[in-house]
Amino acid sequence: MGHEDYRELLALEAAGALDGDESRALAEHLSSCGECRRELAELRDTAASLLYTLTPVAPPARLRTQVLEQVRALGDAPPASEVKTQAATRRAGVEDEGTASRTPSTARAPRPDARPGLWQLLTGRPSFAFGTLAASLVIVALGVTSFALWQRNRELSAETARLSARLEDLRQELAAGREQLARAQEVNDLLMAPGAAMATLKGMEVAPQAHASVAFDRNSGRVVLLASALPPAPAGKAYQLWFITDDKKVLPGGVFKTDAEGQGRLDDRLPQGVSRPSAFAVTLEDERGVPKAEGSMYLLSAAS
Amino acid sequence: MSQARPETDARDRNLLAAVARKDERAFAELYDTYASILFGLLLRILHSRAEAEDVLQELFLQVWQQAPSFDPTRGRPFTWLVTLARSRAIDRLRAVESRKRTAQRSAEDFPAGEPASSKEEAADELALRGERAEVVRGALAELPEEQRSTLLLAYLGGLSQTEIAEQTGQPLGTVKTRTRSGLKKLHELLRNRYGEGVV
Repeated sequence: MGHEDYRELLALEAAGALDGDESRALAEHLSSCGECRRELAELRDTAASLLYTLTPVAPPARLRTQVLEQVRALGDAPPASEVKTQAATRRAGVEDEGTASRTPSTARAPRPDARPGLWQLLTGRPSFAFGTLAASLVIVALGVTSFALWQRNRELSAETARLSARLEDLRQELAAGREQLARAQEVNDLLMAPGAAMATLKGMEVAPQAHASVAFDRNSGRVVLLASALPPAPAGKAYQLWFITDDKKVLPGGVFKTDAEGQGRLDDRLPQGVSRPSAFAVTLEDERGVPKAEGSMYLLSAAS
Repeated sequence: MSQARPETDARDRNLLAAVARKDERAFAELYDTYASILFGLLLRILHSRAEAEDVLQELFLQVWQQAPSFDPTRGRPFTWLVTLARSRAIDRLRAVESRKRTAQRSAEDFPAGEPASSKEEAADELALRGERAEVVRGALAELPEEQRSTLLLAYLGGLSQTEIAEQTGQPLGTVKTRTRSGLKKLHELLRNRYGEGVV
């Protein structure tokens, strides 16, 4: 393959779409081609900018605490999680042509400040005259090391137990908030879908202040309706969504109730065979939903 | 707005340089700046909160360890972080092959989390991100739909080209062409319409 062939691969590499073999072949070319490296870097910036369109989601606060505690514990020690992260590191190394270079090989060597005596005794070749002395030192050193490790292990176990308990507390605290956000995220994802569209519903005479939005994705068929300022539905009743097609057919959707503030949400699907309803309506019906609209109309969208 | 990127890039480069010197405060700042947006990506690719949390944690430990190897002449710090995050997430995804992924997931699978509040993110950071989102969305809207959806599935969804081909019923070659053309077009649009250095 020549330079132009490799250039053709740059956008795919930047989009994270090359498989391992192709990516490795390209990496080899990149090591000797500044022009391609520059172009790849620019395309990568563009690809990374796609993240700005995502909804940021704050990770749990305990994760921050853990990460900060871990780096504090690591200090500038060699990577403790080397084995666990090796595969990812290797991959990142390939993808980055060295910007995320592998952990320096020196990291694997023992730190010079860590028990140098022991290390020298184990790796050096002490002469016969020092053999016995060396052996005793090794035994003493190993004993000290084992004790230190045992103690550290105990500390870590206690710490783990404490963190687990804390984690459980936080999990429970967060459950409600997560639920709420998950639903917001769904709407966001739905709106970001390539086939997404939206309609606005206005309140009818029975509830002029009511309003709602419907988002739907004609590819997946997902529909989300968010309604506000609807009066509370009487016992046994609920609001029902209707899809109105181009040929004026009125097809039933799901039912939903409102909360104390008059807000309601419905997760629904487009009816079979309907990819783009021309209008939406909401009526008050039996809470189990009905096949044909009977009750008063509360909300209606302008025909699109 | 066109000034925005050089400023944040310079700040990020300084942060990474400080992290390379094992400066914990700089590390915390880097975390506070990018954890939420990266977590959003990880949730989107992994569709599992537990996995995303795990990968985010590993990712930042990797950043701590590899900050010295970040080469500012080879790209933006943000791109470096995103590239690391994506490849970690995809490695994890491959490891968790038991779950068969599809592009459209059931509602239960959608990621959940606490909203990224201004407590954790500076307001101007949020505003800046909002502006950038507008710019990128505007450019994305100009792509042909099939290029846009293929590119998003590949980059933000973490699907391989083969998976996209299976899901869309398009030949692999078509999927590759769409991904490539989509990113190139987006690149042109962002550069021509907004000048270099915007996003």
